[in-house]
Amino acid sequence: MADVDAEALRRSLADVRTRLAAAAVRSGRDPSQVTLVAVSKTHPPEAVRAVHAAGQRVFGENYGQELRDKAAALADLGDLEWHFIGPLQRNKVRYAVGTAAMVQSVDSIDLMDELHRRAAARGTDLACLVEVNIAGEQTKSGVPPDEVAALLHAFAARPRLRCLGLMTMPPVVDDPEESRPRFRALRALRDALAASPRPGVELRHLSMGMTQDFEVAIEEGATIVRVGTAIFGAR
Amino acid sequence: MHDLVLASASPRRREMLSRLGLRFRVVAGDIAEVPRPGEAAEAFALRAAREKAAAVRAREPAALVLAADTVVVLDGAILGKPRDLAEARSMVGSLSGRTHVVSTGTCLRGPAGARERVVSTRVTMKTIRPWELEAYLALGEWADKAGGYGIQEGAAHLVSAVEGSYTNVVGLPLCEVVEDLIVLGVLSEGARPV
Repeated sequence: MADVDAEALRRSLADVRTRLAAAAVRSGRDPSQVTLVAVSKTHPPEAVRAVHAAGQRVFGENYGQELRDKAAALADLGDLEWHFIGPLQRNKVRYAVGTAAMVQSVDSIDLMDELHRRAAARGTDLACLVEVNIAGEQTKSGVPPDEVAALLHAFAARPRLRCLGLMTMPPVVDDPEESRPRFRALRALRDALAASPRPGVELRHLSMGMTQDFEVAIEEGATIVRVGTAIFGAR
Repeated sequence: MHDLVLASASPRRREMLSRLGLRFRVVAGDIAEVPRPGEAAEAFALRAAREKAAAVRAREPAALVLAADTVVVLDGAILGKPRDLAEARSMVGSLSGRTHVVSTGTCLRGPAGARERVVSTRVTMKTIRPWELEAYLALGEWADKAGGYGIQEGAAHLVSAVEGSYTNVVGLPLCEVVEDLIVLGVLSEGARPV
């Protein structure tokens, strides 16, 4: 069993929560309207258990099998909520559907079809975010901004899926201010798309901002931030 | 003056189009289409509309032809028109307490150009009591209707929620079709072809 410093985890979670609340208040927002996803990828179930004991309820995972194994190890924690946030291959969809409350990394109609097929087979509904490649980088996952509308349109015919917003994962930067124009662009895209109602789509969430830039993201309207290193430490 | 032809025998589509104040002719283009193996419902609805439009265009080369095909989809499977009461019972019963999708492919094709699209609406039905189902079936409305129900008729009270275009569930997504008619120049301010 890995060594877990529960006290250190409790302190770092409290620190992140304080910074989150300050960023929300600074931008005139209610801190309770920003969901903190604690990104636990590569960290052991014991660390998740400790952070859960400190009051955190939503955790993010990047890999299918890791999500499956960790969810099984922590099945006794009934109020724990998993979000899948990494690139999802079709053959890994089965690990996410039924385990994750939300898949934040939807970026193709093929993936939507597989998610819908699995969700329908289990008789469950699945909340999704569409991942947008807002910076236009070749290496990054997500759909280009001008292809998001087509993906949103496709939710109508897949009634087990519901799109609750957009997610982006911009490049890691030294200065969080470098991320600001990207966060602003995602919000502008959301606002433009929200002007046209679509069945199965409610664009109420913006998932953006990680350890290095989550405060800037909150200032730009993030409703979900995904923080790993600042809580769990470097892997 | 546009010579608009509705390539559908459906009285519901005819009525909806009439209410726009449009003048049009009806040339039934309803040819029986069958989904290809692996063909998604939306793709099938669009292809069927296209083929109906093409069939009528062959006979009416100068006309602007509007064709539509509506499918009712539950769990990815297209529900056709029930052939008998027993099939209607199981079909409408399968929709009880569930959300299904109604997709309509529309194809407008004429000398001035072409527009086509698929519009999908999510329809949720309440949990239908067995006696309510029997009372609905006794109306006889299930015949000749995809999914065995018509939202604008005796099944209206079985529908608890509609997300998206209502007219699409009736059989023709009017808001979108009007947009296409405007783009094609059939409808414009002060120049309705009435």
